[in-house]
Formats: sequence, structure tokens, C-alpha cells
Amino acid sequence: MYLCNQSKSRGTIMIYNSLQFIVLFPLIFLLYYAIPARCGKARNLFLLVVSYLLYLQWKPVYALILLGVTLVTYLAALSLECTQQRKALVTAGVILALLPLAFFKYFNFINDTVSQALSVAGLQFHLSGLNWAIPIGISFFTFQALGYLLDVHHKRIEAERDFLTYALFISFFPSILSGPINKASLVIPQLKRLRAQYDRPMVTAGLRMILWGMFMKVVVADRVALYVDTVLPNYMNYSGLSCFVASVLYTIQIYADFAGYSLMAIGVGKALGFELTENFRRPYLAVSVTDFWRRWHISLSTWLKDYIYIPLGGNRCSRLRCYWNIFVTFLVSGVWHGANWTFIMWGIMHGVCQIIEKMLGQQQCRYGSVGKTIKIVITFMIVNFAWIFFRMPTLGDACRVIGRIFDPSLPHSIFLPTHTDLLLMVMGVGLLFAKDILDEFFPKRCRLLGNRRAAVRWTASIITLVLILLCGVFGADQFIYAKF
Amino acid sequence: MKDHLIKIAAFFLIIVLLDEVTGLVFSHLTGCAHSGDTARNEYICNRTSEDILVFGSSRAIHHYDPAIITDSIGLSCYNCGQDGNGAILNYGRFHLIGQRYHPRIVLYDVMPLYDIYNGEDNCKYLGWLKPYYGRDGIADIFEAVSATEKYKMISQMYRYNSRFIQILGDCLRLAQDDGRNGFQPLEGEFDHMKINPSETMEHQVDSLKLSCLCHMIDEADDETRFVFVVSPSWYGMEEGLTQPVKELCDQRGILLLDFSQDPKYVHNDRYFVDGEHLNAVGAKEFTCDLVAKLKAVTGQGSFSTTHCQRGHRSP
Repeated sequence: MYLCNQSKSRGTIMIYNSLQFIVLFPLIFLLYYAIPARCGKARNLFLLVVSYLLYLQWKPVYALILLGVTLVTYLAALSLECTQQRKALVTAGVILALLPLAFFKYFNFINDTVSQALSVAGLQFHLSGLNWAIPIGISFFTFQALGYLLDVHHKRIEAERDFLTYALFISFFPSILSGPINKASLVIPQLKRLRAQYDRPMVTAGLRMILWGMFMKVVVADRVALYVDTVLPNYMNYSGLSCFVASVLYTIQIYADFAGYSLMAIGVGKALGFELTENFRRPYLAVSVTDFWRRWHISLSTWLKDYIYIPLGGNRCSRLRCYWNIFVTFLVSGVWHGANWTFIMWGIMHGVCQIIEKMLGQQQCRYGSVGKTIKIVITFMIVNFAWIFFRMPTLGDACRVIGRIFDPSLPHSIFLPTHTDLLLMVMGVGLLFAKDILDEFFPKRCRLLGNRRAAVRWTASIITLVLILLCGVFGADQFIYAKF
Repeated sequence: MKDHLIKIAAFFLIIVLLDEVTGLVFSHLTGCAHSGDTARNEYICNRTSEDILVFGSSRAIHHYDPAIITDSIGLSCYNCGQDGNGAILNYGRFHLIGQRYHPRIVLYDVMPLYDIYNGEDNCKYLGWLKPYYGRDGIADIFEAVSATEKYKMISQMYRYNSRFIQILGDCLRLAQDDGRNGFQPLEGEFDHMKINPSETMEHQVDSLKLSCLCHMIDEADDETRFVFVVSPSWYGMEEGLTQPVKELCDQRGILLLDFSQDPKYVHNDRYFVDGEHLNAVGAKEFTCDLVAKLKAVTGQGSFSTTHCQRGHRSP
């Protein structure tokens, strides 16, 4: 029997929920530890080669952009130490490093926006749009490189002279796809010092993180995605209640997807002996939007705080100016996520909510457990409605989804998935939130994967892996944040 | 380091053992299931013996009433349609059935997105075939869909991934023979909310899906007669959407009955629950029309003879 074969070799980058990762990671792990610890440079060179080889798998030509951004920021940082015109040099370095990001990610958006604005004035001007794929991870490695350059400029760190170390810091494969956006002050010293031959507790912790991250991605995120991807793209066919349920599930999906990815990235780093930046800390247990941003995508919010908010004046200025600083910071956050008005609106909503919280003094929770619970629920709802803008393709679609949710004239029926999907969804989401609640409120007790008793630890790990195999969705779906 | 690596290896050894045991248990339970979709899938793959088999997607399972077909033609009939599936699953099932016997007539309901064009990841169509991966010829289908599937199928748990709850439920529930022979009519009235605004989409032919249809025809015995049917759609199907199947039917001399533009059904709320699916009333009406058309095109009574002619053109 011969069937027309469809297994094309697609240009892909190694993602953590793929078979490729399951095959390649143990190989990388063993080869890495086969290099003696005293040969730190050789280990770094091995990791750099692996990182570039994995990046080359996707679109080889885009590795030149990664190399270009690395070279520009490396040379600019070195030059900063021997020039008087630091400001001009850093400005040039920042612009040059940002050029590929601006070109690939924002060209079409700017082109369309300008031509629309001109057409309102009766002028016709339109450049043909780009139909190129965006280099994968460009927003992440560009911001990581810019962070390094600005840190050198502000003399927080010294410029790195060893190109191999710096290139590895920018291209380190666990975090190049979707972060975390690491600080040079955290990673470069780890790359430079001699690491232990094999740090057993660190490797174990890393493997556990990979396991739980995989659970979050394939058991929770990809399962609820089945509902979300049925309802939200066809929201006109579903009731307001179904749209609301889909929006709540998207809120869970994006958390399980991105936090799951981050956990796996940090876990892979840990298994190889590196500490990477923490990226999530139970964000849906935040008591305010301000608190949410201390827990969500921590590496990006820290970057925005350090390189946008504080340089603008932070909160050490007039009240109005501080509000403006918050607004601009979250506007940049929106723009960073993508070239679409929906992301900008999402950023603005988060900025405005934080300004209102600051005005009302509601950033912290000074109430009892009932008040705290209410604040957690309110914050979750605000974040949930903001995610609708993040998910929908246009502002109009997002507004129409919200319109349907609040339209009492629509039928109150609800779209239900199959019993199996429903059960697996409830089980996955239930376990995720149970773990988050236990970690938040009883951090020392109720630890399963990290329990002191080996029997509990092993049982929990085995059950988690069995649940992944039996309940996971293995469509090799891309991570949501990989497109940023 | 060595100790730790041994511990990690021991952990995976436990997983491998559990995986094997799970595979044995669920393989047994799949065979024992006496209700639900598990039993239905098992029946289609391993136990059907009907003269007429209906294949297709949700439009097949909800549109073709075997009781009417049997009453009108005098041959036993079973509806093998499956929600959200098309040529890939149907070919796999037909291949398994072909290892036991050859039905006399195959009615194949064409759903362009599932049978002709590129849509979602084709791996999703393999779900119902996973328990039968070890059977002759099934691994080739997996290989054709994705080169990595053969590695994933090493895991027994993966074969029952996302279905174990259903398998358990189908084993525990009492056996119920609804006498519908696989047909699942949709009750209820037309829901206008389920109508999508009309838009012309560009479709790219999926060579694998078409090749599965071709293989079904090729593997059919001389005694098996294929009839492709496009059942009614509230929208009225876009012109040319079924062109690749029409060409295939022309080349192979297979009968194609197209109800997609039938004015009796197009925009007739009485017969539908949504834009793509007939309700129970519509299904009954359509099955009667289909049988009448079959008789009209092929000549009264020709189905009840053992020799079926090939080479009829669509009307």
C-alpha cells in the first residue's frame, strides 16, 4: 500500500512539547555533562553551537539577524567603555538593534496605519506589505540584548569582552523562543564561572519543572484550547454565556501555555546548571492588576520597569507624571506584544486599571480573607476581559464578543464539549489551580513533586507523567508566546 | 552523577512498565465495551457484516437512516459516519473491514473540508484508528500523515490518550441496542445563530485525503459498488467545491449524487438544525430522496442483485 506521504520537513524550532525535544534534550544533556567541568569554555562553546543549530533549523537566514543583534550590542557595549559620547553611541546601538524587530514586526502595521491616515486626508500612499515570517523569538532576544546594552550604559555591569560568553547569553536555547528575558547580571556571571560537574539537586529541580511545565502545556492549555478555538473564532454562532466561558478558558489557556513554557525553559536551564529569571508567580491569585504584573511575565515587567518606567521618572515625581509613566510603560508592553491595535488596547487597559488602583489606593489588599477573595475574583475578571482584546483579531471582534457576553436578548444556552473533554478539562484546570493555591497559601506544606519523602515524590512524578501521556493533547501546537 | 542517572533510568523503567500494563488493560476494555462510541468503533472495525455501509463525517452519521435504506432496498445497512472525520479515518476503517469482507454498496458522504481540502492537522483524524495501529496496513496511514507518529505510537498510553475515560464509561454502561445501526439523528429545530456569513474561501487540495479516497476505491472488491453523495446543506454548497471528487468519479466511473443545491433543502429551516446538519425530519426526508434517486439512476431493483454495474455518471 502506498499513500501519498504528507510528512514534509517543515522548518520548525525545537519546542518543548515536541517529540524532537524528547529525543534531543537527553542527548544534549548527556553530551553537555560529558564535557569536564574544568573545561568551562568548551561547555559554553557546546551550548552556543547547540543554540545556533537549533535556531538554524527554522529559517537559517534568520540566524544572521540573531548574530547581527548580538554583534551590534556587543560592539556598542565595548565601545561605550572607551568613548566620551556615550549617549550618542547607546542611542545608535539601540536603534540598530531595534531595526530588525521594527522591520519584521511593525512594518506592515505602520504602513497600513499611515496609508489609512493619509487616505482620510484624501492622499493615496501605500507601500506593498511584507509577507515574511517574523524571526522566531526576535522580541525576546532583542529586549535581552537591549537590556544588556542599557545596563552597560548605566554602569550597572561591565561590558562583556568574551564574545562567546555574550553570544551564548543572547542565544541560549532554553530561553530564545519565548523568554524569560534574562538579565545579563544574572546569566553572564554563571556562564563565566566554573560550574559544578553535576549539581544533582539543581538537575532534579529542573527535571521536575520540565514535568510540571509539560503538564500545564499539554494537559491544561491545549485541552482548554479545544473549547476556546471552537467558540471564539466563531463567536457569532455562540451564546453570550458560551463566549464568557470561552474567555475564562482563554485566560486559563494563556497562563498554562506561557507559564508552562517558561517553567520548561527554566527547568532546562536548571538541568544544565543555570538559574534563569523567574517568570510567573501564581498570577491569578493577584489582589490587584498592579499585583498581577508582579506575578505575570515577571521578566518582561521587570524589563519595562527598569528601562521604561524608571527612566521616565518612575514614581519619584508628581502624581500626574507618575500616572503618565505607568500609562506609557503599559502602552509599550502592548506594542511589544504585537503590531495590532488589539494588543495596544490590551496594554492601555492594564495601564489605566493600574492608574485607577493607584488613585484609589487599591494596589494592596488590607482586608480579611473574604475581602482578599473578592479582590482576587475582581482582578481575575478585569484581566479576563482584557485578554479578550489580546485574543481577538480586531478591536471590532473583541467589542462584539464583550457585547454578546452582556447581551440579555441572546439565548442563555451554553456550548458543552464532549463528556470526555469536559472531564479532562475540569481535572486539568482543577489540579493546576489546586497546586497554585497550595503553593500560595501553604508553601511549606502539601508539596507533592518536591516532598521530602521519596515515596511521595516518586508517586507524584509518576502520576504527573502518566496524566501527561493519557490526558495530554499532542497536536504539537506552538506556544502562544512563540509568535511574539 | 552515575547514581542520579540510574535513578532517572529507573523512573522511566517504571513508566515503561506502567505503559505496557495500561496498553494491555485498555486493549482488553476496548474489545469488551458494549455501548457508546468505543463499542461503535469496535463494531465498525471488527464486526460489521452489513451489505451497505455509509461512510463520512458528522453529515453522514446524522443524515443517513439505515432503517429506511434497508426497507427500500432490501439490503442490511450500517452507518459508519464519524463526527469531525473524513477520508483518512474512513479509509483506515474501510481497510480493516476489507480484511474481513467486502460490502456490496458503499455510500460515501463527501464533506469537502474533511475529504478534499487542507484543514486542521491531519493527525486529528487518526484518533479512532490508534487502538488498531498494530493491524495490517494501518501503520502506513499513520506514516503518511506524520513521520513522527510511529514513534509516538510506541507508547501504549498514547494509543488510548484522551479516550480512556470514554472507554471506561463505555465498558461500565449497560449495553443498549437502539436499533439505529449507527445512525444518530439530531433532534431539535433550526438555530439561526449557527449560520455563518457567506464568504468565499480559498481551498488547497489535500493530496493525502484524495489519495485515501482513491485507495478506498482501489481496495474495493469487484462486488462492491461505490456511490459518492453530497448531502444537503442549508447554505447550498459553493459551486466547484466538490470538483476534485467529481473528477475522481468521472475517471473511475463512479456514481455521484449531489444534493447540495437541491432547492427542496437549500435555506429550508424545517429540515436543519444548523447550516450543515439536517435534523431528524430532514434526515428522514433526505434518506428517502437518496434511495429514490439511487433507484431512478440505476434502475429499479438493481441493488438487490448481486452483480452491480459500474460506470454510471452523475445525473
